[in-house]
Amino acid sequence: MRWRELLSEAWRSARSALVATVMVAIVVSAMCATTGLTVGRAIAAQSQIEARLEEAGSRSLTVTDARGGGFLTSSIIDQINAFSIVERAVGVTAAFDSVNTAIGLGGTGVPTWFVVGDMADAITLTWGRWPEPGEALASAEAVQALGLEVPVGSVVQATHHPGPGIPIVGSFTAREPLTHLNAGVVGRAPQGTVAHRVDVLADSSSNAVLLTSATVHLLNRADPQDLSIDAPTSLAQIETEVLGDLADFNQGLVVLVLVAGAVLVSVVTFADTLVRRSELGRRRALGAQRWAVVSLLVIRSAIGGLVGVALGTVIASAVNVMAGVHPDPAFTVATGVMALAVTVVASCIPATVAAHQDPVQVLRTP
Amino acid sequence: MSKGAAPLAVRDLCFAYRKGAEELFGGLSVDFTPGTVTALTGPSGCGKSTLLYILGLMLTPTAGEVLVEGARVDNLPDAERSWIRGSRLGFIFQDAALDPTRSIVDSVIEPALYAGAWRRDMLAPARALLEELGVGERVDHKPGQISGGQAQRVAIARALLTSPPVILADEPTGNLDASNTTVVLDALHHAARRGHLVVIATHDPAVLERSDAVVEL
Repeated sequence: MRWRELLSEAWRSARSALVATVMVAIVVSAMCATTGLTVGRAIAAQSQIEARLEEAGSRSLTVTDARGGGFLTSSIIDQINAFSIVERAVGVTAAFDSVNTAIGLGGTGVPTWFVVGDMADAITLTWGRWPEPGEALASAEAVQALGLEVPVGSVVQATHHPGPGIPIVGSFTAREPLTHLNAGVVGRAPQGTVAHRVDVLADSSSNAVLLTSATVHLLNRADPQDLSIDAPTSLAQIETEVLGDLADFNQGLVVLVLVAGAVLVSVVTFADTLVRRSELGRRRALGAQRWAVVSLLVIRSAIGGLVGVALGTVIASAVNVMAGVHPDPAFTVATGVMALAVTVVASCIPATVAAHQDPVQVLRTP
Repeated sequence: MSKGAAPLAVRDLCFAYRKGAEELFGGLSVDFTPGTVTALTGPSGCGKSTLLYILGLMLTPTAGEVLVEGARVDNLPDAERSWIRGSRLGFIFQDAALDPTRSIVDSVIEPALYAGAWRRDMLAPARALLEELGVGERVDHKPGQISGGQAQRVAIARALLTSPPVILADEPTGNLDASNTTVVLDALHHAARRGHLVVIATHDPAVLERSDAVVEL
C-alpha cells in the first residue's frame, strides 16, 4: 500500500472512528495540560530559585590575608583570573578612613580602599573618568558624606592629616559581590600594592567548591592560619541539593504523567480494535498487510494525539499566562513531542496485536 | 508462477482447526479450471467456507499444498500471502462486508489500494464496473443506503476491480431473494466468461444448478 494512500486512509478512518479519536485526543491533551500546569510551573519555580541562589552569592569566594603576609599580589590575582571557572577576581587593600581634604579632620570619615587589579571588575564608572594610580572615585553615598557637590575634589587619610591628598575624579557604583564598596571611596592602587583581600566570582555555584580548592592550592601557604577563606561551599551544596531534588521530582512527575497517558492511550486503542474487529478482519482478508494495518491504527491514534497536543498545550499555556507563570517554550515543545511519541508507542502494542488476529476467526465471529 | 498452470489448485489437502480435532478434506486434490464457475458444496460443517479460506490464503492447511498459477503459496510468509490475496485473488463474503463509513465507489477501490494502486487511477474503472453491474447510480451512496442485492453486486465489483485471475465467493447468495440471486449469479458467470476462475462455497441449489463444475466435500 502506498504511503500517501495509507495516510489518506488513516485520516478517513480517524474521522469514522470518531469516539476513539476524540478519546485519544482527550487523554493526550490531559497529559500535555497536566505536565504544563505542574512540571512547567515547577521548572519555572526551579529557575527562579536557581537565579535567587546565584544572586545570593553562592558563587563568590573571599580570600583574606589574615596576618598581613603580603602574598595577595597583582600577579596572584591575575593567575586566579586565569582559571577557566572564574568569571572575575579583584583585590582590595584594607580599608582606611579618609576625610575631605578641604574640611579636614572635622569632616565625616568615609571608608577608602585601593583596588589591585582591573577596577572595572569591581566597580562601574557612573560619572567622570577612570582614575590613574593614586587617584580615586567616590560613591554617591561617599560624595554626600564628604560634603562634595560633585564627585570632584580630594580626600586624605584621616590618620595622615595633613598629608598628601587622593584626588577624586568621578563616581561609581560597586559590582557584585563588592557592594560594600558603595559606602566609600575606591582608588586605583599604585604599582606594587598588595591586596588585603581578594573577591573571586565563579562562573557557576556548582564550581564554588572546586574554585576554593584551586585558589588554596595556588596560594600554597605553609601555615593555613596565614589566610582566611570565606567560601559559600555549604550554600552551593544546598543549592545543588535543592535543585537536584526539584529536578528529580519534576522528572518523576513527567514519567508518571507519560506512563499513565500511555496506559490510557493503549487501552483506548485496544478497545477500538475490539470494536472494529470485523473492519480489521475485512482489511486483512482483502489483502492489507500486517504493517499496513499496524500503521493505519498507529497513524489514526497519532492524529488524535496531534489534536490532543494542540489542545493541551493551548490550555496549559493559557492557564499559565493567566497565573503569570512563563514556562520555558522549549519545555512546552518537548512536552508536546514526548506526548505524541508516547501516543505512537502506546498504540503500537494493541495495533500489532490486532494485526496478528486471525482474519477468518474475526470474519466468522458475529 | 508458471504459464499454462491452473490458476488455482490444491494437492493432498487436509485441515484441522486444532490438534486432535476432526480432519477435513481427507487429502483433497483439485485443479480449478479458468473461465468456469466451480461450486464447493456439501453438508453443513463439511468445510466449504474453510476450504475457501484456505484457497484465499487466510488459513494454512495442516497437510498438502495450495498452488496459485503452479507455484506453492500456502507456506509463504504472511506478507507475501497478503500480497497475493490483494493482487491475484478477489474475495466475496456472504454479507458483502462493505465498510459502512465509506462510499460505494471507495469500497470497490479498497483492495486495489492494498495492492499498491493509486485511488485516483482506480476511480474511473470502479465507476465503470459498478455501472456494468447495475449500481452505477449509487456510486456515492453509503452501503446502508442500498439493498442487499446491490451490496452483493458492489462486493462483486470490489473482487473484480484489479482483474484477479481467481474470484472466491463464500455463500454470495445466502442472504438474497431469488431475483437478486439471479442478478448476482449472472454477474459471476459473466466474470467467468471473461476468463476469471470463480469458486463459490454454497449449498444453494440455484447456484449448483448453474455451476460449470461442482466439488462435493
